[in-house]
Amino acid sequence: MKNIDRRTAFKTITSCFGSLAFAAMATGKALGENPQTPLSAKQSHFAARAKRVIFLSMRGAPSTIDMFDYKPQLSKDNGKAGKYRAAKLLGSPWKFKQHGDSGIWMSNLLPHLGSVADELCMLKGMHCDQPNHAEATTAVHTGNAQFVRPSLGAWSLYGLGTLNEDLPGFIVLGHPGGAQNYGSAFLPAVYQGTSIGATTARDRRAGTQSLTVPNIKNPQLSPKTQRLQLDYIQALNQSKLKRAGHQSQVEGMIQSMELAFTMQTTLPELLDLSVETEATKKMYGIGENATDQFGRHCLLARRMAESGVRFIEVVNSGWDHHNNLKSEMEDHCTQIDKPIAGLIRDLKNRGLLEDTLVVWGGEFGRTPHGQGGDGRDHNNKGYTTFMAGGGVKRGFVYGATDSYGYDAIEGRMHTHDWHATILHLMGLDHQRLTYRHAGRDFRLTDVAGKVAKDILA
Amino acid sequence: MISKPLQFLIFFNVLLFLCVQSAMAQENITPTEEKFFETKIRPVLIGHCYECHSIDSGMTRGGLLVDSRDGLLQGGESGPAIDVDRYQSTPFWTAITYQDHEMPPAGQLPDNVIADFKKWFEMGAPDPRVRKEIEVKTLIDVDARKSHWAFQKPNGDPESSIDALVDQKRLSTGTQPVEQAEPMTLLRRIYFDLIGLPPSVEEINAFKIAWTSDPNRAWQQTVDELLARPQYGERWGRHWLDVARYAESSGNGNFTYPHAWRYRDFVIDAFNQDTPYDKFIQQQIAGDLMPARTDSQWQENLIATGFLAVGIKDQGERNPRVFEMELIDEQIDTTTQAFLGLTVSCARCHDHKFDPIPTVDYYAIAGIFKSTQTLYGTTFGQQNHQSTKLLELPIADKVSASQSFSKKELDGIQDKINSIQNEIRSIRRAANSAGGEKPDQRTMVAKRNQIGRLQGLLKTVDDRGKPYTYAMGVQDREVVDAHVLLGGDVEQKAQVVSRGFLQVLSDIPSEKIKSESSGRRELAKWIGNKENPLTARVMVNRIWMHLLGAPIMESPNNWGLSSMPPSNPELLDNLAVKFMANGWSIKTLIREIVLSATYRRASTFHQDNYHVDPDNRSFWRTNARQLDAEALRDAMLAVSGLLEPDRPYASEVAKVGDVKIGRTIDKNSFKKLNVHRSVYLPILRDAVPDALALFDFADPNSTRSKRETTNVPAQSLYLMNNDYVTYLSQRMAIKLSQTHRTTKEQICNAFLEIYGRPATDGEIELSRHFVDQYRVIAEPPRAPSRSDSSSRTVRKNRNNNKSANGDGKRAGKNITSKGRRNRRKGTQDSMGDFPRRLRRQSDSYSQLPALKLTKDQQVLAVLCQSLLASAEFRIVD
Repeated sequence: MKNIDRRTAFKTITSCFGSLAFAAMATGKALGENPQTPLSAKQSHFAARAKRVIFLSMRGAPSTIDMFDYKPQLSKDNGKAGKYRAAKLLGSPWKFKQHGDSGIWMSNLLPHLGSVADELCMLKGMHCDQPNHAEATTAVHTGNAQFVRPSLGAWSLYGLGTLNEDLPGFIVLGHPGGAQNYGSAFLPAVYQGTSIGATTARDRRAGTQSLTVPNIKNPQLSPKTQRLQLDYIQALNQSKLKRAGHQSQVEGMIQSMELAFTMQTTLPELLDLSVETEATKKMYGIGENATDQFGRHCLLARRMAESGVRFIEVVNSGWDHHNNLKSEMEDHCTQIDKPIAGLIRDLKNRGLLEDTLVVWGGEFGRTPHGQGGDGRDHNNKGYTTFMAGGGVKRGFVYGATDSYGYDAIEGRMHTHDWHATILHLMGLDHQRLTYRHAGRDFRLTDVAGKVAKDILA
Repeated sequence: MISKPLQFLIFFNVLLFLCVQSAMAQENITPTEEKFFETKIRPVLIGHCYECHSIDSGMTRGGLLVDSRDGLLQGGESGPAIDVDRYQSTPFWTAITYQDHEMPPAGQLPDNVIADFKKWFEMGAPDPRVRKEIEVKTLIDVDARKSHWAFQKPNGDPESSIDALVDQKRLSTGTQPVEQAEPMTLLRRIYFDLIGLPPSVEEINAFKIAWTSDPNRAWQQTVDELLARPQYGERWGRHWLDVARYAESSGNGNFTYPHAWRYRDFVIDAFNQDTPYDKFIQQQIAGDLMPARTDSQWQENLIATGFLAVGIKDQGERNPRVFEMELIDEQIDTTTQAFLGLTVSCARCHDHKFDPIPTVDYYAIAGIFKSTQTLYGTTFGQQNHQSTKLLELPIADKVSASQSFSKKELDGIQDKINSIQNEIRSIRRAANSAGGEKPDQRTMVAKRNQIGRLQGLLKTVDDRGKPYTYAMGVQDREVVDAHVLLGGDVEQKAQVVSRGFLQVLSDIPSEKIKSESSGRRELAKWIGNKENPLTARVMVNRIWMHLLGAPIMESPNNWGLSSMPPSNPELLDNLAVKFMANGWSIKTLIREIVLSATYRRASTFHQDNYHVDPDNRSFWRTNARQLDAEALRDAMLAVSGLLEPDRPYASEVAKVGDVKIGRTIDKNSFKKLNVHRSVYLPILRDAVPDALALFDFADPNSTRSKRETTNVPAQSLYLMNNDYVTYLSQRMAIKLSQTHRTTKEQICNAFLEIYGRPATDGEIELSRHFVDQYRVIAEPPRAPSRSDSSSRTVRKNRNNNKSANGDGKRAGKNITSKGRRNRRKGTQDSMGDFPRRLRRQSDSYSQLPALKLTKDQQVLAVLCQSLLASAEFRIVD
């Protein structure tokens, strides 16, 4: 019984959210009778290479020196004095090897990711201003550590609108640390991210797998009774509208009410992974202890990408390894390795990788020298992130750090440059994407930012 | 659209700076001293320190620069790095001798080098190094830009009436006024506008009767009665709290401000007492400097300065100069936008791009705040590098909002501190013994933080454990003028500028800032001066906006050259002139506006008018507006019969005390059923209650002049599905069913309470139909889902904090035997007299009481919730 229901549901979903149907729908919405909502799809500044972004955000600053930034010299000088502190250099405890035709180096922490190395564009010359988590995380999300500014996702949505008005255009899975990291700040509130995830610390600790959207379900009414209720509300609203003649707020409320009602179905449907095949779930590591949660989130990210969500952020926390580096890195890399590889492969199989930009990164990296023998300190001067799909070169390495991994020395990419590049791939000129607030024009990249042209495919 | 005269301004906007080698060097250095420095000291500094502590390396670790004498003297987060008179206790010396910081980190300097430094200090630390002196000049022609309309004094005829001036504008626009609104519509409008609550059924009925006999009198009486209610201050005070970016935590690291509520209550009271606006300004900027005849006056004035202290702060910042300038910038930004409608902060790094505000003007005002000490408290440790004291108030609280401690508990806290200190000592000893390992820095920091927090706690109470009566605010401190900072960079000091105000408004007569005065008092008087062309206009525009649903000047916080001109300048000036003439009385102004025919117009749509003036800039009708977050929540509480009209004492945040949100306390712990008005809800930055945040509450991170009005689906979901809304609807249904028998009566009264008008026949019909159908299709109500969540809370995993486990046990042994009664494992429970309530606060929040409803009440509740979710409830016509 249940299975049949799910199959029926599957059909509904593919017809609702299948990429072809959705593309048609998006065009319809863009050219249709109601093109004026602030969320309607908008023309980009120039042709976009990426229609949407999946940002895999690693909170706590992963030690990319143990994952991607292979440093034989560091291993050789293991135990010698480091650059800044009395602490000694710590060669990576993991073995590195080259992967694929591109020969991208990765440590044996990431066997699955290695298998899709030829899809990746490694950015090895990253650097940012702040070595503190809170500030750097805010800067990664909003371009600024001191003031409250709109987030990258909000800017994307403001610039491009959404591709499916039946769903939020910017969704965050997990906790990127503070609402301002997915907020809209002075941009209109419609551009802020919708956070989906366990909402309380209690649920987080319990490791609840089910995802919740606040108020998505009525605690008492069946869908049928609620439809009846909604019809009643809308009848009252219509008569109010009729009396007023023309009142945009009432019109707005009528639409919003209807969309909310739709979302009660579409969002849980979107979040329902039971319609996915076992093979797909396996690819993401769903069902395995270590990878289940992040795998689910990655699969959801694909489903959202498919359904027209413009910006999706998936958060994985707990990368701040000042101590217990060895065991913690193994745990965390295992958590993300298979799911991310699965996501990239799945997107590719479905032809979505071409116009979906996958971005991976933490707020900064970690030092080549050790901390207390089995840990690493913060390093904002040189670390690695990567991108895949959506208009970046495949199997490509851009930038480098010095022979120990302290400083970015080639292909240096500041957070502003990274933002400029992401916007560029979405068809937006970071210098033209501005918003007038408090007497001046603001932009994501402040007065800086350079597009890394070398990585564009 | 009006074009903005910006392009040519850009040309004036060239920043000049000159570099001159001179000054600032230490005078009278003998050749011997210079040689000693050049051969013994400078090479060591370059070789071992510059990498992390010089402008050239771009590193200012710990806020310290050692590449100039100036840098050493000003020091970093540990205070001045050198002091020639007592060098042995300065951070520089203790660091190079490895007493605490251990600098340079790669290895201690050889003994002979340390001996050189000792000798150098004994010589008086002669240092010939000079910093390049920079002068920032401006080419803005301030005088040429003075002609901007907003910089001219308001020129209004106080004899003209609002209606006449609005009519004039309408004539020139070519719009016709729509009719006056229906009495019921008017009543609902004036209630929400003045007190933020709907009229009760009794009030509606009484008004109806009064209106029939004499509409004008009924109207006036209602207005006067509402203005006199304490709820008026709660409504209008909240408008000001948006401007004052009021919140009860610091944002960023998010430390609580447990004393912020006093400022909130001050604002509410000021509106209720109709404090003249010029005095209101003075109190907030310089209340501490105003003469006060009584203690209670003094108290009020001190609390008022909380205005300058409740802003967002980044206490994780280690560089004290950066932190100071951020704080000052936040104060300048809020003060100038709030009172003057100018974005002076834009001139921090360069001359203002649009307005005639040169960078030097910014630093003239910055000097005023630099001579001011901002006291905001916050808990020390836990990544807070910037906590301060607080203002102790002259009149002590009769009832304390925060925690008191018994003598026993005080001892328990002190014991705990001692035991942690012992632990630190024993770890140190172990480390220093042969073969000992270096102590784990994180553990040490955590322990020091814990001590800091506990000592902080002891500081909040007197010997008997009774809390001191504190407020946030400011005091004067040593008077200094500020350096202009090139590009706003604290390490790139240019010339010093005298404290002062804005050149473009130099025609305002002002007291000269005396050399011993910070200048805050003078600043407040200069702002509140009747000759100031902006102050009155800015405030009357805000008031007009809240009453008419749209401002006369589109950007209430920005009146500069990039702003749109006002829709009706004559009206604006007329209101400003009257406002000042009436002793800056806000109530008088509100009264005049709401008695006008303009205010009383309907919100009806009119095709021809709309065609000519779609934005209603000529006010041919009243703007229909959405209830804001507070009014929406308060109205729901009111109709449910649950609203507690009296002010609660203090705030939920005060009860929690000084903590870090997220670390010591989960933000969800504030999500209790709270039946007080929304203005009293805990306002934590980054954790604003859902009921407010979802409905466009003003982001308290910076001053806000206007709220957005959105219709996002999340709001609809909240109104349809949220537990709290459901609960209130059920309460309302129970209330209605107890007072009214028939379904029809119940429906009629639901409409009357929620819409403020009787239901039409059509609506009654529709509603009955809904009720009937609902009865047919509705299943028996399922048990509310709340029970699911409560069962989940029963046993939660408490063992997730592994490191706390070990520490707790060890600490426990050091204390008394009483710890045995705490059997729970983990955390730090075996703490003797250490107060139980100071342990990590539970993050489970109380659930709404479950209600037992009959079937009829159930239907009625759904009907009530439908009305609450409908447009007519959410819109004020």
